[in-house]
Amino acid sequence: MSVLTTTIFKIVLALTIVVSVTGGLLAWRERPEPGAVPLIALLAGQCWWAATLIFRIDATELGAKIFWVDVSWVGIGLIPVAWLFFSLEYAGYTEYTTRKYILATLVVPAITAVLGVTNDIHHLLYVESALVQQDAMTTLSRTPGVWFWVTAGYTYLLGLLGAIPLFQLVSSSVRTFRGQSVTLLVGIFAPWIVNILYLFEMFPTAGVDPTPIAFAVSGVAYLGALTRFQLFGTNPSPIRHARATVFNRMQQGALVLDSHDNVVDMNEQAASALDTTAQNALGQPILHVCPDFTPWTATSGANQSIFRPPDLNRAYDVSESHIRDIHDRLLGRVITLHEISDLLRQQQRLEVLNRVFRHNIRTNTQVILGNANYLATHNSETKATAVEENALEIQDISDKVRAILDVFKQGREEQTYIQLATIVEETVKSVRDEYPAVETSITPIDEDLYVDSLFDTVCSNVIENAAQHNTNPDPQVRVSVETRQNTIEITVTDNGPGINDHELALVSQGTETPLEHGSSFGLALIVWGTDIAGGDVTFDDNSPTGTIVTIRAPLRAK
Amino acid sequence: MFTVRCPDSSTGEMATKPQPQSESSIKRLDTNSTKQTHFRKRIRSVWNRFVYSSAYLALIAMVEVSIVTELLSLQQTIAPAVAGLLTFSVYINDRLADLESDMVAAPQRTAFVQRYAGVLYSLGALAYGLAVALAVLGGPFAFGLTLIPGIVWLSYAQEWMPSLGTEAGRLKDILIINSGLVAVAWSVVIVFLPVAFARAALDSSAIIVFLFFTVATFVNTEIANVRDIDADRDIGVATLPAMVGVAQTRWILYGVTVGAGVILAAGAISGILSTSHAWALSVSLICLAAIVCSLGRLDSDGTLAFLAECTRLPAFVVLTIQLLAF
Repeated sequence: MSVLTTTIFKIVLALTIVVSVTGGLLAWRERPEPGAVPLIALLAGQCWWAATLIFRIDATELGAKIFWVDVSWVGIGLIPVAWLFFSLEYAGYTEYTTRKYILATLVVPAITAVLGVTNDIHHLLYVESALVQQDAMTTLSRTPGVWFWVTAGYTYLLGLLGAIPLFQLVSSSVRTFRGQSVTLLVGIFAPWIVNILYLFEMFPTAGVDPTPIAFAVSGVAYLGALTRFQLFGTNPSPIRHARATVFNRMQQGALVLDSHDNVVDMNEQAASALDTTAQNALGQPILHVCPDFTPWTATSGANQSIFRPPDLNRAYDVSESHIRDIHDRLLGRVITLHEISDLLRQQQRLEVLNRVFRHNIRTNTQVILGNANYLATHNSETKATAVEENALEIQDISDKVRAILDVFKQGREEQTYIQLATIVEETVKSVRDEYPAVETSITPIDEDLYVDSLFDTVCSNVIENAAQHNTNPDPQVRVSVETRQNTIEITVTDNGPGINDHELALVSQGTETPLEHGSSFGLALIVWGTDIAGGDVTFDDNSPTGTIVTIRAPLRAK
Repeated sequence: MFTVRCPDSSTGEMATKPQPQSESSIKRLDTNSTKQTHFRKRIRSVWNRFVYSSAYLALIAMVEVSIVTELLSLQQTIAPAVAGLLTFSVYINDRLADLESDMVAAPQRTAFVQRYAGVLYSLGALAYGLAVALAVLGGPFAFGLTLIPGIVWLSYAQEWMPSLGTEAGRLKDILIINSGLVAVAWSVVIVFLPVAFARAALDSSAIIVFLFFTVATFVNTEIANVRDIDADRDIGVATLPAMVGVAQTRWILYGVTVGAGVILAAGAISGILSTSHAWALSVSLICLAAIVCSLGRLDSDGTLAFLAECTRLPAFVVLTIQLLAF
């Protein structure tokens, strides 16, 4: 290399340092944006390599030149590692940028640095070194050893791995990301290409690695990415995580099945719906995971859309999307499970309410019409009274429907809690006043027990119904309260005629026979009100007659 | 409009009727005064930019390096330019990092820095890059010296202390350490950078000059802390004025200034420093002592801080006169 060439070389290297330091300080300001710290490390490595190369050129003795080569390995080893982690952070693969991965990738550069210092012992990095006089310049000529090629290959490997995520962004629909990825790839490929040409002796640089020269191009490219394309102002790192977050946190359950109906991915909500865990389900055929999932296997031709897991009081609307590749081959399916339990319950309640309401209105209206016809030709006080009573019953039905709608509304509003003792004692007092013939007893109730305010309506209806419809000559109603862990059990026992099975079936399951229609709004209010308040109610037969109604209500805080 | 009383040539009486000026002369007067006002405004604007951007500190650093070059009889190099670039970069970054806390002590400067934050940051980064590149051409020692201000600023101004289990967030918050670190780091660059560029040996004169500049810079730093006393107390930065008050600080700085004088005297007596050089530095020391004396006695702490930073300029003038005269 001539003196002029050397001078130009050094000026370009100085320019590399200017660009690298400037870029590094601009990136410093962007911390803790993804990729900022690795980019600083990368530019610091470039700066170090360029600086040590200048010192090596200026040194005149073999020992000094070798020293600067050895020292330069710190920067040379840092660059590919920093590049890889910059790319991983930038593209959103941050799970691979933990300390253990960083330390693992630094092993080879660390070994190289040690081998460089101890090369005279083993000659693994350089087989021989000598000063060569050329064009009035003294340059260092070194023959690479085995480890030199190992570290060169390692450097290219890391460079390639770091470039892969950026290649994906070159075709991004976002113009900024396209610009960023192209400039970053120019930044890494420029020195890469120069280095390959140098290693295959296509550069007449008298043994001086010109790679740092190309860092001037890299530095300008990185600066361009930083300023022109807002490298840390907007970057794609959240995209990958966002899609995973949506999949994992969406309210719907989602299952991914391959073309053989094996479960290959699922979120927590799907695992909960199928009453399993991801650990148990992944890799298994869906029918092993959930045998009741038959209608949605690939081989079925079923068109059902509601899935009801056995032993679980829930229902899911199932939808299916096919996954196809660019050759239109079916790769698998995504099955989403949207919980509709509440919706179905509400539908059932409205159906029951509709049926009972229509039945009762029809019945009363028929009586009114019949009596009205008679009254048109006869003047009968009895018939007039019957008309009035039926009209009042219709009004009463309207009030009960209103009470049920109020229960639904309360269920949608913010929960309030009231003292259970107050509810029960007031209701019992009211029943004693209204039905003095009914012997009503009550066990002592702890005043610190609080329940959802909906149980006011529920308990009132249970106790009043037990008294009102008790046709026993010696009517009795007994109310007892027990506390079990986080639940309160309110038991109302009467010796009345009991509750018809079909009435219970209508309210609990929404079913009725064509001949027997339900007529009891009170029962519906008790069942639905308890369900909405998060409790449950059971009806058992008392001996010899009557009903035992047991309400289990969640214990609430004061 | 003013009345001109002129004696009437014929009657000797004073003419009472005012003589109106012509419209064109009034317009000329207005234009001239407008131009002068405009010119003064422009000068003021340029001066403000020069001061608020800390470019003046870069100039002072260049002057200091030139002084050291002369004191140590070194060959002229690009060391002053490198020192100037480094100073500009470090101070710009420091201003940008402390925008919130400086709002009380230096509101106008802070407003300027805030307004041009993007440009200043880029200029600061470019300045540091240029400084490092130029230093590389000066050799590994010079290269290492240019990294020192950056490394020291990072450890000085960034919050890493809690990781050691200390209460202080930054070295900047610790009494004496903060000013001492600035003084040492600064003096290392100012004194040893020209030595590195000149590829000269490090001798006892360099040590004496380094010690003098360290002590004098320490005094400069604490003088500036008097201006920032309220803001430092609010944010928990422990400086001498914030901890012991202005009066006590004044006495302490008297002592330190005397210490710098002792260093000079020792250098002159032992023959390490020439008498003329010692006198030149004494001039700056006297100016510094005068400023210390004014602490807490004048209502312009900001001006005193500015003047303290400029106390090396008299030494430069004296050295220049000595050079030209002899």
